Amino acid sequence: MKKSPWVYMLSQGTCNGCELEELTLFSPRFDVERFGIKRVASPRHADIVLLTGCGTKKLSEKAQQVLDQVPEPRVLIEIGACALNGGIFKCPGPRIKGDIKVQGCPPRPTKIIEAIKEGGKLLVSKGSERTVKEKRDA
Amino acid sequence: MIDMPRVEVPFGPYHPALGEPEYFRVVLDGEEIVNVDFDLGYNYREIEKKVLSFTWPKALILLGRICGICSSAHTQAFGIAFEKINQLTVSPKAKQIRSFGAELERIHSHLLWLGILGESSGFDTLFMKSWGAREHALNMLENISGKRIHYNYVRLGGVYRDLNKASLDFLKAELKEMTDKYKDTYELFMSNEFLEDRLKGVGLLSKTKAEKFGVVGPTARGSGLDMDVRRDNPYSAYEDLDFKVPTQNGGDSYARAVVRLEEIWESLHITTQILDELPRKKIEPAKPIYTSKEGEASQIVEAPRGENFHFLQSGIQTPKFFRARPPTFANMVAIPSMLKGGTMSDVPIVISSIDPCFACTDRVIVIDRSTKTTREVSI
Ligand code: SF4
Repeated sequence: MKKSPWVYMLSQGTCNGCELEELTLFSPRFDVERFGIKRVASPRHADIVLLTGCGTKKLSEKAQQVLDQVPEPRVLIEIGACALNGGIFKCPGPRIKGDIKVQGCPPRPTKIIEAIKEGGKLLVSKGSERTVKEKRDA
Repeated sequence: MIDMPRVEVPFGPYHPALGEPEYFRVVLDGEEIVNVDFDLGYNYREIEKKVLSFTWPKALILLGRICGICSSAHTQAFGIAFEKINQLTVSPKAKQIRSFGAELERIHSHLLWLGILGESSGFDTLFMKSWGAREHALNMLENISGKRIHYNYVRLGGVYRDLNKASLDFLKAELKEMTDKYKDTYELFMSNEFLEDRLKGVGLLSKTKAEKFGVVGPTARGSGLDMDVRRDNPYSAYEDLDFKVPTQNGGDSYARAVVRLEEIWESLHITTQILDELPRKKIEPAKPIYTSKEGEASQIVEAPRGENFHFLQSGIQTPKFFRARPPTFANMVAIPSMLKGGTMSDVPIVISSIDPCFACTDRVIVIDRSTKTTREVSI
């Protein structure tokens, strides 16, 4: 991974399980800060967004508003069965679509780390595409 | 003096200090909080309705997913209610394994909360230490059930599997390691003057108010109410176990914190007892049950955050009616009273001091979603 991605956790109505496993990444056992992965509190600082939850009626609109504040280039990762297809709850949605998907209910932290690493690579390629495009437009 | 207008500050639904999406509206007069209102229901996932179309084994899996932190409390309450209706007997060893899992859950939930408290008061070392200790509880839960989170080891009429010798050895070693690590964390918390100053006197809830609001669990015990379902109305194996119920009289965030920290010691004591006394005789894993008698029953269990109440009316193949009242639902009503008179900077600490679990709560509350009205909470 060339860059140090900053991640933001965005919930669309969860049971907490997936969010816990995301938070565990920042605790001593998995400690993703050794890869330069950092958790940020504001969506405006984020490079990677970890999406969880099945899209409840009250939250899906709000989640979209928060997502609109995340600057481009950005990578969205869907985490857990809920974010993938509504999971066991089969919420009405709508759910935000992601670039990378991680299965599980909840997925193991190691799986999430792999996805974030992959997201970091994707971020670099998205970023360079953007620079090429900007240069061309200029 | 300049006459300041009252300011209304929205807090949420997405806020770094709230682990889960929830909305608070805080009215400020200068620095002082004069009124608080909250709106729940952001995590509402219609579980109560959906469970009515699930077969019994599947219903248990769904109810475990009410909450990722206390899934054992929910499955246990539901399982015991089902067993009451069908007059199933559960073997003593299975009961002990259930209590063992429930105590591990309490340990991991309290340590999780301690870490979040550390983080929200700017003390990251506490977060690292307590989450480091918490991993051992998750390892043990993984050993008895196969999963770190959503450990569905409670089955209707028994448990998922027996504990064999290898697993007992593993559990004993992990328990010892966790106790050592927890000791460090406990000392770190207790010896920190800054944390004490930050938490003392913040979010006061007097004993009379606690009684009036009907708060439960560590929130009630922090205000001097001596109550615990495990002791007062024992279920599973708690009747034969020796433990104390820690209480504090402070009624502030610090008292609630100390109650939880002491409870972890008690839980460690209970788990050690169970591992020492667990009968040698093997038990069979419970087989899935697809039919039930018709009837109704209720059960209260002590979840990490307080009393968790389940009411079940059973049909033959599926539940007919189901209702649950998790502890945070009872504790939330006390929040406006705790916050009033404090300052804006206390809000994250006071909210986290009752250890709210909105995933649980939002399954119960019926929100007027069509009219989008917010309900005022009178104090
Ligand atoms: S995928 Fe599973 S663990 Fe994750 S939020 Fe959904 S139910 Fe909870």
